[in-house]
Amino acid sequence: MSEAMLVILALWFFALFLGPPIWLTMALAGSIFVLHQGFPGVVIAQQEVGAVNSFTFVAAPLFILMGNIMNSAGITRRIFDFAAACTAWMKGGLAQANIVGSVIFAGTSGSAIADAGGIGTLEIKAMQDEGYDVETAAAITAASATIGPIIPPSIPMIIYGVYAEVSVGGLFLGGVVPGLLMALALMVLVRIVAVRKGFPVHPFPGFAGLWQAFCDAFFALMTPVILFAGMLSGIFTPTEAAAIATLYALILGLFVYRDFSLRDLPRLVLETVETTGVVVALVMAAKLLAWCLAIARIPQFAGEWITSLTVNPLVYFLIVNILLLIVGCFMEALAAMLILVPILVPVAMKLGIDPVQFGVVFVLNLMIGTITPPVGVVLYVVSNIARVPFERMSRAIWPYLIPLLAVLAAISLWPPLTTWLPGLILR
Amino acid sequence: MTALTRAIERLLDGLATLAFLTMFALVVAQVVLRYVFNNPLVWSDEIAQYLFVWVAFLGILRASRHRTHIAITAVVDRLPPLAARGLALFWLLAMAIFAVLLGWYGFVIARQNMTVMMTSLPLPYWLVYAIVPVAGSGLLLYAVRDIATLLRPAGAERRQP
Repeated sequence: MSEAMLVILALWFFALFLGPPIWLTMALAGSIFVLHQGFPGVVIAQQEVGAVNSFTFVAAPLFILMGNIMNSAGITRRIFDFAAACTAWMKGGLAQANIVGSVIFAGTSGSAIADAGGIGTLEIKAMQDEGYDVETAAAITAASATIGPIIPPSIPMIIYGVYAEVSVGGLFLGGVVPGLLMALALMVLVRIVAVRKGFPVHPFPGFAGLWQAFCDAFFALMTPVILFAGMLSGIFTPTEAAAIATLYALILGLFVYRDFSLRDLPRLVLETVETTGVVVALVMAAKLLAWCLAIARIPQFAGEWITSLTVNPLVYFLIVNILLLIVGCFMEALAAMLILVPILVPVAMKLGIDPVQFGVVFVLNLMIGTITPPVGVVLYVVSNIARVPFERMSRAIWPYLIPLLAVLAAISLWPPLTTWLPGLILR
Repeated sequence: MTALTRAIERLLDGLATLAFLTMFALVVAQVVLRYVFNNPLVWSDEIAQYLFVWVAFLGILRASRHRTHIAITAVVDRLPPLAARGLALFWLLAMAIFAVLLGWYGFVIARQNMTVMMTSLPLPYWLVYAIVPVAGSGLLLYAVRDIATLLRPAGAERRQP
């Protein structure tokens, strides 16, 4: 049975590069295994439905809708304007605003693609208008978009939590410090590049000017505050927080900023349904394939093999990081997560690694994977928005991987970076 | 054919919008009832969850309709046109086969759940699975549509806007 599975896996990996939707290759590989091994065919439908039959998962489409509403209701633009006012006086002010804006936006959005497509569009345009070369603007946008799913809310963390059976609230809190560190590290690099390339700089607007910018963006900035306060105080589950914050964004767009009318809602809902479809198609098919792998005992064999190599948590982290970074180059993040969680998580638990720390490291790896060629979804989205050929985009992104990899190393080596905040609040 | 497809698509879009907004409203209602009226509903979370199952399958259909699913095209883009068309045809046939499998086994599992009830409401559980045969049929429809587009002579394709 294991041999059959390995043959199917080899064929599947080959098929991946022949152009079909990725989810279809996984669904077919799973179906072939189920039918070839004589399992009842209903398993196919059962696993596909089972993958999304979870109340926690309901948060994902709600967060996608919230991002869409924020973009069309002018909330995203106000957040970016505020970030620009805060950093314009620095060397390369708009490049720094790109990062700060992404951090604030990250507090409301759960996906790197939403970050790149939402606030990213504004960031690239503003930077180009000020004379930045388009590759730099696009590379910083792509790199800062990866902060989105590390700072809560986070769709990858919701999915990780559901499948690895880790508290989603814990993962969310565990991502706060690493997310801020990523921003800090990127800002340091941008500072160095800005000095060398002589990026534009603006005069300091004064504290009155900053206060004015804050007041203009006040209601927009409250969106992440509502979300955080609701989840941190334990009043809301992530799903409820998503619904309430979406309602808030809707009311803001309809009655306060009035950039948005109820007639736009059906269009936004359908866009959300479609984006949800793209995400869940991968999740559902990967669940089916993961079931087949489990039946063929692949996770046990792989786990035993890894533990025969090392029982040292730090060495294990090194192996996992290298493996996930390589996999992230070639596979879509969510699909990779569902297939590798059953293999890598049990070993981590056996070695006594904190589940939240492991989860955040896992997700950060895969988010870096979204900006590494040849398969990098965020890189692809940004290259489309900025109209930069994918090859040139792939070269421009390299320097910006360094700060992200540094944060990855730090949170792998030092557990308190991820475990301190959840321990403080969730007890 | 086109008129029929368009009618089906309008129906699916209506269903998806309704399912999504009801799911959203149920989660909001749950929060309001719990904190404002201190009187939570027992069934809202479960129904929101099942509506999400529907939204998920309808979303997959919509993404198939617009061909927005994630795929790795870097290799295929460099192939000669004939080989690329051949591969595309192969994958559309594979999609059709999977659509039939999903639709049929979805129907079987829905039938197996005819007498099973939901946990919090006296509704039959087959309603949750009922979307699976719908999704299978829809995926088959789009696979057939795309095969027809692919096999259409090049002149006819050029006349399309």
